[in-house]
Order: sequence, then C-alpha cells, then structure tokens
Amino acid sequence: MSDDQSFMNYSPDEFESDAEFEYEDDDEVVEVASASQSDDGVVDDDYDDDEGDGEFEEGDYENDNAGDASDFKQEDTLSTKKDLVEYKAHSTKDLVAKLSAQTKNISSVLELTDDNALTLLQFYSWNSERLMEEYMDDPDRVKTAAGVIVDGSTKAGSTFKKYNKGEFMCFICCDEKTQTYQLSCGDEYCLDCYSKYIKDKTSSGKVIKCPNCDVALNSQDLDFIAGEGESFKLIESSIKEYVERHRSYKWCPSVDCPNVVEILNFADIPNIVSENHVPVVTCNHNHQFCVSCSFENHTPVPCGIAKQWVTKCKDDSETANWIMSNTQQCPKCDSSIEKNGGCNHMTCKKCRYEFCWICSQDWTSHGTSYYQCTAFRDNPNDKAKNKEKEELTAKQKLRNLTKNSLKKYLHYYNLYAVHESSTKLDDKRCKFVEEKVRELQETSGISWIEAQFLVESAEALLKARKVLKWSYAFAYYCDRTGLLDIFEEVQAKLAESVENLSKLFEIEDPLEIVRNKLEFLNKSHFLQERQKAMISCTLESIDYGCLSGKD
Amino acid sequence: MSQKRIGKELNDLGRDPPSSCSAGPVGDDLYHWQASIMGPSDSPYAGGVFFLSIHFPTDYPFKPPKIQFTTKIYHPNINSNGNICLDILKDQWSPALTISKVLLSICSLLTDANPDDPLVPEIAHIYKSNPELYQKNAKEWTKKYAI
Repeated sequence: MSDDQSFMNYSPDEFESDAEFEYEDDDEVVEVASASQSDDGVVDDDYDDDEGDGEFEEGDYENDNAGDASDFKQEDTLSTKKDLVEYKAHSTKDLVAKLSAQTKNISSVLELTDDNALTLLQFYSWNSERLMEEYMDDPDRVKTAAGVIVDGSTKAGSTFKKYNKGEFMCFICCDEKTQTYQLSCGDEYCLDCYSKYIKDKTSSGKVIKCPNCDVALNSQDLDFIAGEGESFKLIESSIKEYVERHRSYKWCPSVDCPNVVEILNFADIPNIVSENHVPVVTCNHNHQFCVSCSFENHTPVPCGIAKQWVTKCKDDSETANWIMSNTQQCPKCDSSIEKNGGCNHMTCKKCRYEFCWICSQDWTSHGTSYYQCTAFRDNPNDKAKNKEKEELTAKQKLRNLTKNSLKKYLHYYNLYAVHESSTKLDDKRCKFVEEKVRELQETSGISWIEAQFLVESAEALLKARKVLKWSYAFAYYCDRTGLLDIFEEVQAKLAESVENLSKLFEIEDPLEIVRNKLEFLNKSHFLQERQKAMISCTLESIDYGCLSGKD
Repeated sequence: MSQKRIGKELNDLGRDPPSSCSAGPVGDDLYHWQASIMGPSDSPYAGGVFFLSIHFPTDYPFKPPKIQFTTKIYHPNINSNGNICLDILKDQWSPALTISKVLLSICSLLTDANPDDPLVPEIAHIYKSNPELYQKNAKEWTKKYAI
C-alpha cells in the first residue's frame, strides 16, 4: 500500500476511487441483485458491474444503495406503515472513512498531529466527547496516559538500528540480532519480536504500546515494523470498537458479513416493536435483518413472539427431535419408550402394558398372527377408543394436554424446520443463479438485463419462504379461532406457490430456462402477491387478538 | 526461540535470585517449572511457604505463562484450584515481563489483595466487611497448609 492510501488520506470523498485498495467488497451476486432492485426492475445503465477493474463511481453506488434500502423497506412493511426504520447501510469502508474524518476533526480542534489524534481516539475507544472533555481538563495527563508523550515532552522519533553480529541481544527472544527498533522511551527490541508482538495485538483495535512501558506505537512505527498496511489493520479492528460504542450501529448478523447498518431513528425502535412491526433493514450485501433482535428478517412475526419461538426451539427442539425420532409413547401411560433391540412385543416398564411396537395396539389382540403387523389398517378401534376417552380421569386428561402441547409444538416446529433447511438449499441454488445467468448469456445470446428475471425470481423465492417459515411460528402462538382457518388457508396457498417456484429452479438446461421465462415471472409475481396476503392476514390476526403468545 | 528465553530467565534467577521467591524446572522439562513464594511478613501469610506450578506455552514470551498455586491459600483473588486472577497473567501480559517480575507481582498481591475484582466473592466480601475475620482465616489456612 503506497502512502496516499494510508488511513489519513482516506477522506470520504475519494476513498471509493482507490482502485488498488484490497477489500472484500460486495460480491457479484449482490451487485447483480441490488441492481435488479432498482426502480421498476430497470437496471441502471451507469451501474458499473465490473468493479474489479477499479473504476467505481462513488456517487452512483451510494445512490443505488439508498434506492435499494427504501425499496426493501416499502416492500417488507407493505401493509404496515412506510419508512418504519430510517437507516443507512455502511460498508466497512464507509466506516473507515468516517473514522478518518473524525480523526481529522479531533486533530484540528485539539491542534495535534493526525497520528497523535488517532492514537488518542483509539485510546478513548472513539469517544470524541470524553476525549475532548478530559483533554481540555488536563492535556498532558491524557497524552501521557495514551502514550503520545513521554515524561512531559513530545515523543521524539523512533529509530531503526543495525548492529553487527554479537553486538545486540534482544530481551524478548534472547537471540543475537542485527536489526532492531527503538522507541523514544529507549526500549529496544529486534524487528522479528516487535513484528510478532504487534501482529498479536492488531486484532484488539486498541492502542499498541511499547512492551515495557506506556509509549504508544504510532502508525509509522507499526507500518515500519510489521509491514505496510499494519496500521490500517489496526484501524479496521478499531471499527469493531466503534460499532460497539455506538448503539445505533448494528452489525449485520449474517455469517461473515462485514457490513454495518446505522439506524437514524434509533429511539423509535422500541415503539416500532411495541406496535408489532418488525424493524427490518437491509445491509450492503443485501441481507435483511431485524435490528431489534439482531436476527434474520422474521416478518410477519412480531419481535417478542419471534424471540419466544427461537428460545423455545433452542431449549426444546434437540430433545424433542430425539424423542420424536427415537421413541414411541406407551399407548397406555404415555411414557416415552426407546426400542434398543429385540422383537416388536413391547412391555412397558412403567405400567407393564404389553403392546405391538408397529401398530401400538394391545399385544393380545394380535392373537397368533405375531409378526404380521405390517399392513396399514384403518383403526377399527376408533369407536372403542372414543368411549375410553370419556372415561379418562382428570389426571390422564392433564397428561394428554401436555402430550398434545408437545404434539402441537412438534407439528409447527417440523414445518418451520423443513422450510429452514429448504431456505438453505434455495440459498445455495440461488448462488448458482449468477452462474446460470452468465451461461444463459453465452448459450442463448440473450442480454444480461433480459436474464435478470432469474435473479429476481430467486430473490422472491427466498423472501417468501422466510415469511412462510415464520408464519408457522406465528400459528403456534395463536388461539384456535375462526380466523385461524383463514390464516391457514392463506398459509397453505403461500406454501403451494413457494413449492411451485422452487420446482422451477430445478431446471438445469439454460435453453429450457429461457423457454420458461414467462413461467418464472408469473410464478414469482403470484408468489409475491400471496406473500403480501400472508403478511396482511397475520397483521389482521394480531389486530383481532388471535395471538395469545402462550405455549 | 522460547527455549533460549526460558533458559536465560533460569540463568538470571540463579545469578540474581529475587528475595523471598525461587523457581526452577521440574525434572528435564524446561517448559514446566515449580516456584515457591515466602508469605510476606506484613501479611497474614507470613511464615508460610507457598508452592506454584508454572507452565510455559510454546510461544512464550508472546503468550503469558500459566501459573497456579499448588498450596491452598485463603485469598480473594486465588480460588480453590489455585488459579490466580492477575491482569499481567491475562490481557496485560507483555513479552517484556519475566517470571521473576510475575512472582514479585504475586507477592504484592498477597500483601494487597484486590477485593473489587474478586475470583472468590465470599472471601472478598469478608475481606471488605470484616478484616479481622479475613486475617484470622488467612492465618489459619497458612498454618494448616503452608507451614
């Protein structure tokens, strides 16, 4: 990294044009996706897809993002209020620029060098106010604490020294070394040890001090000892500090996503949540998440219910899954029984009831036709069972209630889990979409813009599946009233559309895909409509008080 | 590299041993030491000899050594497993520190406990609310385990 790419030259105006700057930027899938989200699905002509070449116009990019964000907002909160959460999506780069601006501001206000201002800010975890306050009180104390000055005098330059063999022994490694580095405090160590020391500390995001005293290493020291760009790595780690310091900033919770969202109306979030709306934002990598829960977009389920559901699943699902897949209940006393070997003639250890593992009927009813219990039969004992049921004691009824509640939970959890795993599969498939689009362009000669229907459909599928998934969690917490029937009908229709579109994505042949373009468009449009219906139906159910929130 | 450094520290300890502390390898393993600290005379631990085990990580001195008391001790910052809550053994470690310096720090921790950042809250509570009882208990434990 050359000089002009250093942190301090990273002004907000010019940083994006920095071509060589190595940074994990929006990957291509996202670029395409965000382009497709621009108004009316028309791709911006000036959107520069090929960012690898370096020319990337900051202004356009920003506008695109802003556009995206508001598009998403409107879409997600469609049947609720518009502009629920006001926010700005930031890449890590934006934040670096922001920190650089803050440093410049401090250095001019406090009349310090940029380097010293940076050290002070890092020392104060980017809390400018506190730094200014304490600096005004006692500048020397602040500067000494942060290691900017030694013994009351401004830190003199550090020196790189060369020795002949045998002249210098480094205290840290106890080896004779020829290249050393000495800070103004006089402490001197070999370059190798210094470099290892610094690299160990870079990830902390805090000021790195001399191993032996409080003198801070400035960015020149860092870059000289540990190689160009080390000071920049420290700045990047500082961003972590910065985001944690500011509550209105939220990391995108998606795996490995380096993006941040700044919430402009942070104070309104509790209100939004209490009105059962989901404060959804979209990060620069096109991940949607709820800023209140720091969790994926769980529309249409209100935050409280979503949290309740997630905790419940965490607590219960593992056990419940195991119990469900490995045990059966004794037909008489409902104890869970695991069959770990032997024949199908089971005897419950608790109530000594003998029954058949396969059909759960009384073993004596099998007569001599043992081991023939393989054919599925309609239950001939239904009537008898009903009669039995009436005779259930209160205790048994209670037991049944727990059993039913577990059954109810498992029912909805399974539906939820199925769609969760399908979402992952869809996600994988959608990642191939980008490839397919390129393939389409090559084999069928259609243009990039024309091939965008595939990307749009994939997006629609993912979103709708998420809504569907969460609607099951919602249903679990609903009272069984008349309205729930309508809800379930809408839900079933959404499920059907999701599966229909999902099926279309199984087509492998590019030409076949082009031939089915209309199908894709129709189905995804239809899906979006049903998704809207699902969301508004959920909200209506809440308004009617169907949501009990009880397990 | 860590071998050379540990070797040098061992040499220095032999040449210029710190007062009231000693340390050296257990057997042939240079990375596993045993140390002893004499209870400071101005503390309830006076008269006791406390043993510690020291394990050096392979990337010593860039990572701190693991130090534990093997003698039971009644102290707000040392728990029943002998683990010590001391900043320079954790995030405040620096490669410029040595075993000798660390042992001296532990000595001063024995004289001046840090009850506001306790590892054993019960002892810290007694330390703050009933200093006499703390002194008594610490002396008893020293008598019982360290003499």
